[in-house]
Amino acid sequence: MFFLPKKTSKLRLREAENARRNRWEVLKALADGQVTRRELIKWGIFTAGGLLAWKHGLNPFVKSAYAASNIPTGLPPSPLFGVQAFTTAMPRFDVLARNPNPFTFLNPSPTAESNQTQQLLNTALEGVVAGDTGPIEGRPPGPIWAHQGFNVFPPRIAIEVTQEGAKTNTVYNPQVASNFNSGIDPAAPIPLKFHPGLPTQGPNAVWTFNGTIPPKLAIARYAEPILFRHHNRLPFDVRQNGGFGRHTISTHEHNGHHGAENDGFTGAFFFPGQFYDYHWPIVLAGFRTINTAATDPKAATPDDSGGKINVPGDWRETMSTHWFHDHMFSFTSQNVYKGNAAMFNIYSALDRGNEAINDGVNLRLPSGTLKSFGNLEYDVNLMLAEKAWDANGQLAMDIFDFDGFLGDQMTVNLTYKPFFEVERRKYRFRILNASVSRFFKIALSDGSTMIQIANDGNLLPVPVPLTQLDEQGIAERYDIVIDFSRYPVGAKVHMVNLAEHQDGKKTSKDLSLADALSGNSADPCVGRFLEFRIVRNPATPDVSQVPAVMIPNPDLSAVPVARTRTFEFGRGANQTTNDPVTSFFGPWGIKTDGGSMLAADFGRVSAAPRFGTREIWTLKNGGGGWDHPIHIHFEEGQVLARDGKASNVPAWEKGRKDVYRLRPGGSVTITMQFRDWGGMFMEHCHNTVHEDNAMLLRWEIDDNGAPFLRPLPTPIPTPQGVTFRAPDDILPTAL
Amino acid sequence: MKTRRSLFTLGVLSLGVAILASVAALSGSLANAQTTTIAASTTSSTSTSSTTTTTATAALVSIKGTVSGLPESVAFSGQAQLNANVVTDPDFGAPPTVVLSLDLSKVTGVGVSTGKKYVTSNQEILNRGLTAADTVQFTFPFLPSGGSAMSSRVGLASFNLSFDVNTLKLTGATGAIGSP
Repeated sequence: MFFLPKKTSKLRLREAENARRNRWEVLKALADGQVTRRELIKWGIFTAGGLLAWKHGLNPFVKSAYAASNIPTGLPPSPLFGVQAFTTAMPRFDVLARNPNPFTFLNPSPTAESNQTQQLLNTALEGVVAGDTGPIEGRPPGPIWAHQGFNVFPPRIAIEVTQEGAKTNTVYNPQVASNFNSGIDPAAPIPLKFHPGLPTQGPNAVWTFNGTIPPKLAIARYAEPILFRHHNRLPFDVRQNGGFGRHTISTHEHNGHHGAENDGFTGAFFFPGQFYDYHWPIVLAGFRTINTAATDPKAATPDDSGGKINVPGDWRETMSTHWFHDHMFSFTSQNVYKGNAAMFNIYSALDRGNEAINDGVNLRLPSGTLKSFGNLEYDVNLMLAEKAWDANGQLAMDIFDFDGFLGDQMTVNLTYKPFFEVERRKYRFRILNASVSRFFKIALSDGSTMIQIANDGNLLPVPVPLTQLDEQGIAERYDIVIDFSRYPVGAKVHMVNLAEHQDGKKTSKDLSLADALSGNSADPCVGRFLEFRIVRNPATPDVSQVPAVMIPNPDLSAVPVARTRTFEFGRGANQTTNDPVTSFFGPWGIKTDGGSMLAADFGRVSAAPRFGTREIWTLKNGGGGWDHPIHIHFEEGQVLARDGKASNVPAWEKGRKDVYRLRPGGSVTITMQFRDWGGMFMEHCHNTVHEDNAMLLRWEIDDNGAPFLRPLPTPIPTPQGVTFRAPDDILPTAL
Repeated sequence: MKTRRSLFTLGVLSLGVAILASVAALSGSLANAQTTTIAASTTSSTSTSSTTTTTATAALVSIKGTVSGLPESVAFSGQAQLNANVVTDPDFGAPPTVVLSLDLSKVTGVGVSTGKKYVTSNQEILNRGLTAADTVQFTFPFLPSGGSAMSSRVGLASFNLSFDVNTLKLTGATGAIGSP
């Protein structure tokens, strides 16, 4: 979405609404299969580059005949129905139930290989005729997609979820008492609204985990493998999507160190009526070669009685804040925006979520004390995502903005500009940027200090005091500590967004705090978006700490660099394959090792690092007019240099990361290891509009053919079952 | 685009700008920082659709000023390291972006009452649109040398920057520190 000025005329609003409807009609015809992308190109609605044609009344880039500014025609502003900011409480995340008996709780019982039991298919599914059958599990069949290490790490916890249309939540479990949740009564039904004063979302407007809000939180600890069973209960008819969203899904545990069959590979999607079993072993990276006898006391997991249990692996690879979301090929942006996003806290002996246990390992970060691990009283997940809705208040998205989609209403935990009550003490906030294309830059309204303790899933080597966080790209997680003891009871302070956008390509400007608070920005998502109300003194003394040293980086000096690769992210991509399932067409692409700029094809192998090796990858931004937050799946990387210089790496990027913002015209050099698990993974821009159009590539860990094939066959999902075919293409520098 | 002017008047000042062709040169003596011109290095990179040009300027900007407050006022001085990368956008024809990096780690403070040393490791990275004159303002945390990150206080840094919009070079920079 692009922003219309605040004093937009009624005539122009009507024009914008007409343009929106025109685009939606094209979209609907495309989604319904009435037209193909090729036909749209022929008719001049799409350009050969996959762009929406330069037509007034259709393309949001074309200036309105009535335009009074350079801001292109956009959607009408999302109506607020009289709702005011900071008038409703921010709900804590809804914690997903954990069952300790996966093999008896789940029906059918989980299996190492995909469960291919047949079921009668619904004929509303595409390509299905009466009498067709297909497997109940959408995971590709056979040994290659069997859970790696299933017998060594058998699941000990089951988490079972659905993906379905919006409905009222009657089983909200914030796992904290009401006084730690701004007074919200968890027993009260929660309709799916972005604010109590806004309309209820229809079942095809929003598709969330379990169909409800608040957003979901999964809780894990090391050495406690999880079987995450995800049921697809979205509409069988692909046209029943409320204008955007795809009913096939693939769930990515971002940035899980798991086998590829559990990574949410973009081409391993599953259909309505199926489930997919994801096996998350929750192991420390390096467990096959480092600390294999589990003697290092820092490589440990919390037990249930205040103690800890040693585990194998490198404690410097301990991870903390993850999230999981859809990764459906070419539809990730729509599905994540529609609600397929949740967070995932991983606990360890170092970061156990208990601030009182003093065992010489526990870092005692703000959390709570009631439970042995995973206390949430003072450890708060924040999901930032701006949204847009139509005249009826239903979630809306303009999928023709190939350079990025922006909403015009800020939400935190899917609630419009809420407030959150806090005590006069330290809190940890795990901040996720769950937007489609928007970058945030966060400050507190009084300019006071926040302590950044983690970047992405990883605690930093040392805490970094900041008054303004760095820009936070899509999918990046910043964990910060705010000490509210500096405020008196009754005070209020706000989180403020300083990053101003004019479009979805990048921020147009990072504002000063005073400018962001002035209300003069044309971007409605600049300024205050979350109000902290300091409501009381803590009942017990705050014993939490922010230690001077947290988790140093793994020492890779003894690990030789097997090879280097370069990836350039830019525009003008070519598509060298034409597989209708695996390839996609769009303006964005990736150039590998100096080759051609290529559009996405998950049947193409662009890189194949050898199992057990370390490589250095340089990620380059091929342009100056955009930014890209690049996500590399599977294992954490260390940033070695920015723009070629180690001295350009800021303090908050000196830990491990999994998303690397390139900055306009910039580059990032990282090092990664490829170990423990095998299979096919991805690398892509996490501006998910860029990812979908078509800035994504597949890489896989090359085990030289043992035990798997080299290269791996590409899965081709259908409701009747997944077939395999040879890769469409293997780049000459891949192996 | 010009934003708001500095709200404070305390200690504005000194502007000296170093001429540096590379970041490596920044490690030279502070005496070099008092020169009055700025040199830039320009690099170009080519994408499939166009050629993007990055003009990089590095400078040391002398800066000083006093942050008032309890337990004592702190007088800061030192040199801010400034890197300005001006990046063109030939694909969309949009105005160039300035990626600014402002590092205050070489700026230190002295407690006006106690003489105690205060330090900041603050680095600010900002995206701005290219304009002939730009004022950049941000708060920064500081703390007693050796103190805990939790004990930090806050100061305000302000920079007035001048660019040649034709050569894409930073041509002038002044800085000041004050109370937020």
